[in-house]
Amino acid sequence: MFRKMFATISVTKVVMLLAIGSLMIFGIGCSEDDDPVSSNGGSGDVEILTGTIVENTTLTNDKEYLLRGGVFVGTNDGQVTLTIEAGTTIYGESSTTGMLVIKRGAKIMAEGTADAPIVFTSDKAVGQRNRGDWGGLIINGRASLNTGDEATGEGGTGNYGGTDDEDNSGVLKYVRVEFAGQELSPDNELNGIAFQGVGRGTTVDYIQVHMNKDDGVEFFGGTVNAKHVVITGAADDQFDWTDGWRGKGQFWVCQQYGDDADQGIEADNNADENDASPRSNPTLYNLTLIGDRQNAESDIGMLLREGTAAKIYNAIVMNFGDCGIDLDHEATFTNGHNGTDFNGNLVVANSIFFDNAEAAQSGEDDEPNFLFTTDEFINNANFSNRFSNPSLVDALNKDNPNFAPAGGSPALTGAANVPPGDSFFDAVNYVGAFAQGDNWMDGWTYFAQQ
Amino acid sequence: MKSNFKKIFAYLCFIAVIVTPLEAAVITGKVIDSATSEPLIGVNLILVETPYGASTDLDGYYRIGPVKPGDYQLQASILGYDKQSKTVRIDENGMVALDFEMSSSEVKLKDVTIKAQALAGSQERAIEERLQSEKIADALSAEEMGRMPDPDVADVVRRATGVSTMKGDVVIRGLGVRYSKVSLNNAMVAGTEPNRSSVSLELFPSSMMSQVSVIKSYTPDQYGEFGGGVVNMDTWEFPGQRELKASIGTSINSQSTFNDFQTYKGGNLDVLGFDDGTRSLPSSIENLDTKLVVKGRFSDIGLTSPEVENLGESFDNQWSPNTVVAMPNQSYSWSVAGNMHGFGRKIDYMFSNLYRNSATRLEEKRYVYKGGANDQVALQHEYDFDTYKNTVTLGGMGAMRTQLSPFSRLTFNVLYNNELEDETRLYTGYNGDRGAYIEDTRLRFVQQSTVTSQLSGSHAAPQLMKSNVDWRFTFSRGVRYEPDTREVQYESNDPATKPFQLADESQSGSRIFNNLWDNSYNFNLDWGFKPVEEMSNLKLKLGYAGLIRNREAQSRFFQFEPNSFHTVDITQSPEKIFSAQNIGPSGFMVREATRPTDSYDANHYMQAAYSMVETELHPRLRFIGGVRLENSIQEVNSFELFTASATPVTARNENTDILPAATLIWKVQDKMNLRFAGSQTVSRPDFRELSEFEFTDIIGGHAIIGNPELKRALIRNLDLRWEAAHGLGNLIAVSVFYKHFINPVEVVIQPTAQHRVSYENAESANNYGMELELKQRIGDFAVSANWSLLESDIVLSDSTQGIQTSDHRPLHGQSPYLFNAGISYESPSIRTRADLFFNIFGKRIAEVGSKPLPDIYEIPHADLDFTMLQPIGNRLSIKAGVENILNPEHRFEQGGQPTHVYKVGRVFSFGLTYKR
Repeated sequence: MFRKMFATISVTKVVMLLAIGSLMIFGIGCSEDDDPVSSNGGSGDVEILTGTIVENTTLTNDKEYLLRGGVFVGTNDGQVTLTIEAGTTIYGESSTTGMLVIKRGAKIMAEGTADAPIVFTSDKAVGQRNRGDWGGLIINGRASLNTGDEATGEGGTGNYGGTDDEDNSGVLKYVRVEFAGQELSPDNELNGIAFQGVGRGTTVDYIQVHMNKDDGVEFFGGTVNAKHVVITGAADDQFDWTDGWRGKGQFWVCQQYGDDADQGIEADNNADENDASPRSNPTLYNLTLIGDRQNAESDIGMLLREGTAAKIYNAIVMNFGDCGIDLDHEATFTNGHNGTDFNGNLVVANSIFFDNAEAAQSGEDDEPNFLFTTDEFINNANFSNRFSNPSLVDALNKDNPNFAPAGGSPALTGAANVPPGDSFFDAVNYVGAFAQGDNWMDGWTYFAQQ
Repeated sequence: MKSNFKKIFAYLCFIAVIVTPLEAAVITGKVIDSATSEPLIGVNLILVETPYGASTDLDGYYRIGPVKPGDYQLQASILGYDKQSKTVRIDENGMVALDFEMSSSEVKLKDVTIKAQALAGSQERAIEERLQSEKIADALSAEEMGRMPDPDVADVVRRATGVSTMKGDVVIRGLGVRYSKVSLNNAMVAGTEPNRSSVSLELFPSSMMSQVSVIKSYTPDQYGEFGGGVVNMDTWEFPGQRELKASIGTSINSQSTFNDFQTYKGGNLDVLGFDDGTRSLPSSIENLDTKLVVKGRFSDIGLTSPEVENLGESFDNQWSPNTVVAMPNQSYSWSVAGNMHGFGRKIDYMFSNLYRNSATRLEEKRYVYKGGANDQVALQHEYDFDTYKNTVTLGGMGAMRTQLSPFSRLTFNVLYNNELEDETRLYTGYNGDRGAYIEDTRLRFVQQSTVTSQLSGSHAAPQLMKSNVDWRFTFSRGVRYEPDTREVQYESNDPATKPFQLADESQSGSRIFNNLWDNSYNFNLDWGFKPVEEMSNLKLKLGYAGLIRNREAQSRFFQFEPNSFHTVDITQSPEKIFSAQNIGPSGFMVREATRPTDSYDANHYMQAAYSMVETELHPRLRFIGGVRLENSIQEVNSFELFTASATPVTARNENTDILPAATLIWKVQDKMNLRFAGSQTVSRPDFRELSEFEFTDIIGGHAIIGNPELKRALIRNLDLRWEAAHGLGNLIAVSVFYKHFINPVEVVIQPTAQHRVSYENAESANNYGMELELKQRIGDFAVSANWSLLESDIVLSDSTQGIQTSDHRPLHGQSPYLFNAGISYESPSIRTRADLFFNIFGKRIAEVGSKPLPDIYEIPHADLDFTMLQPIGNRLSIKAGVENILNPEHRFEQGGQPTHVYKVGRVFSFGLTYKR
């Protein structure tokens, strides 16, 4: 492919070409159709997936699979379902930036179990694995965005967005995505799982993204809800949303590895236009965000900026290197305050901040001009935030973490009630993602770092 | 590159051999038919009572000599015309020009006026040719260019009416590089731009051109791709006498010279403009048949981890610049012309070489915005850029001509130019998105060369319907060699407390290698004849043109990536971070991030035939009209982005177009014309615009995806011009024009996170304007001025608008006005010549905005330049000048806020020229 070209066409040859002019010209040129999916035996028991899957397909757990290059499910807006059996392992090829893209209108039915999760992982040997070994998982849906009627995915990964906020892209249950996040094009690393305009008909419950090179999960607009989400060791942000995400979430936990990490949550409305509509505005209950301030790279627990709205309750934010929370950009402040009081558009309440370099970012020169400061925000009496040790069992342990509160933990009291009548949320009386003595991560999660 | 160097060396030796002592005094001139003003071929000229004589060539020119000084009688005769005789005095070192206007024997002899015929390259001749031309064209003569401070054609051409330049690209009548084409001696030349097929005029030294003309009306003997106009460069004509010229010059830039200059250790041939291999990709990597990546357990693509580690250590570990002092800029050039005997006939020759070396520094403020409250822009990033650039130009030209018979002539010429830009770019500032302060260093080396060789013949057969046959075969090759662009970026989100450390960004620790080859083969054949002997005013012209162009572009991108949990102290210098001991699984590993679409090749096949008629509808009314049939096939081969297979996918665009054109020239009176021209032309999409696979523009840095559905655009052109010359070198011209575009190709910005660029056919666009031009001598002064008023309007449909801010806006790069003025003084006694040049353009769109940000406009700035020339004796002259006297701020704005702000500095120059 990189052979040195040296087209030395002789004069006589050219004269001849010109002389027989049109004959030559009309004879030149051919076109080839897109390669359909090709599934051949591959090497050993690994079946190679490549190209576009255009009809309903099931990946069975008696085999392993390799994603070679970009593997697309569905043509744009076509109805194709990819079913993955519980216990199936799918490798992403490192040397071709293997990745799986569910196109708009197509579905992924990946229903694992706690005993037999579905695993997307690196094709390198255990012990030699790294963040960014392969691409990642991209799901495109038809729900609304604030960047236009629809958007085009980075790196030619298809269109997403639309008008159907109830859209259903399938099920992700007991699914792990590990060692992904390879750069797709310059300045464009892939998230572990990118939810792009995904609608609330989609089910996301019990997923882990581990050791991703970019963000753990990122929501680009859409309305998808997500429950029981574990992000460990993502090199950029653990959770990220932008472009008008309005979903719900409960039981989210992240743990940074301070060798490479940015924020626990990085939340935007729209970076080019802070007041774009529909505004990012998720409702989140019971989060546990664990930083790694012992190492230099850990930054901010929650960075809410670029005009986002959010209603966040019952969060534990601890051990971040810069601060527990920071609000940025004037639009974020003006949206959250009516000039005399907080207006309920931006809420972080009934939460516990502990052992961050500071609770709220201070000393930013832009904030004095705004309606309030981050410090005034989290200390507002109506939000009932606390600044004490939540006493988690073993939250800083990276090999075998336990984020549940120990006996007597302040996290066991002071929780806000979930919205009444909303069947998505489980009614709980604790702060953070775990009840005392209950570790819903058992069995299906993974913490080995190489 | 070594072989290139050898070639140049051999060429220099060759020239040294043919330089012989010169002692010349010659008589030259042109003989025309007094009734039709057409050149007369084969006229016998005899220097009475001497053995000297000559006959006129295909263009009616003759040359006699060298002749000893004295008074002579020169006689011109040809069958069917009255014999003429003129007295001529030859001075010691002089050269005399004598023209003849001969009258048909039946016509009564008119009074013979003797005037000095202006030589090729003079302003008078340029005006004369312009009035005679069937095209609407504005020409800059070598004489005018010689007075300008401008080293290359890009700088020169902006002084022509209705022309401006933007980053080296020419904009004619507000139409940018898509619609403004470039030709050399009327042939297409190869380009060196990686993602578009345009030709940079910066690569053509103005001192090698006898004339640069901007052709603004279309005739069917031109290539059908015609929009705003064509810049045609004519290389030097043979001066007709022995001539040796050598120049040496130096200049200092007020903000660069003698100041600190950041550079790095390059190769031994950098000073000549070539890389000696120092920067080339290590051969162990070049020779790999796979990507430089670590392979997984199940793949055969890639290498083992130890292999990749070893290859990672083979890169040159130099990332940082060092400080030197910028020395004055230098330039050297020389040329030689004359004739010699070989193969039994006389061969005219001319050769020239030039070398320039300059060091410039540019300090620039850059601001990046996002949409803020109340439709205002809000500052997001703020950077200080500091760019140091060493530019080395080495060029050469050679031409030979021989007369096979009085009716047949062969010419061969070669133009070569190599330009190196070796750049160190530093920037620092705050990135609001990342919340971090950035320190970025990039070393970049770009070598661009073009070589154009042309073999042409002119043959006349007066007995066969007064036929003239001209043919040209042109080969042109452009090469861009851009090895090892290195960049490192450090960041700190709180410099007061945290040291800067290597950023984990894709450009940080990157090595990029780009190559481009562009070859163009042109063949043109034109046959002009007068089918009816009695109708001497009816002339037909038939012709064929063929073009084969192929190009191949390659890009390879490598990055040193930190492995998870590495143990390297990344606050160290890059040379320490990327030392061999830190390359490995516990530190940094190189990974090739090249994508299949980063390389492509493309072909363009074009064939055309045309027929034209030229006649006089009335003694004062000339009509030129005809039609061209042009078939064009464009093919782009690229690779699918996500598949591992190397099967290329071809995008193809074929069209056959009928392109009519008609021109009426009403000779209101002697040397006063009123012209009207109308035509239909095409504009084709560029190669990469047709390729449906995304790639990243290595220059702009953004993602681009082509559109295989693109159609070529049709352009309807209407022109009206009144022009009048009077006296010697005085001219006044007024033009209006209107252009209507059907399906013009426009940039669309797609709503991706990266704001990906693509292309669509917009519905329509209009472009119209008025141009005024004046050249006037007043005593020893000469004033020239031109003023253009331009207006354009492009209407974007919903689909073409994408997330562009404006659905209705001027064309990219179009200024509402352009103004040039020059005043020139020449002392007849002490021969001092002084010139002052002024140039300004109106506010223009530099970058089309995407929502919610407005378009970026370049704010007008005025340029003022002064040059002075003082001959000393007959052989020596001194040239001195000050460029950019006002040193204005260059400023770009978005929503009233600055985006780029910089100054380029004043330049003081001094040079000596020796001529004999």
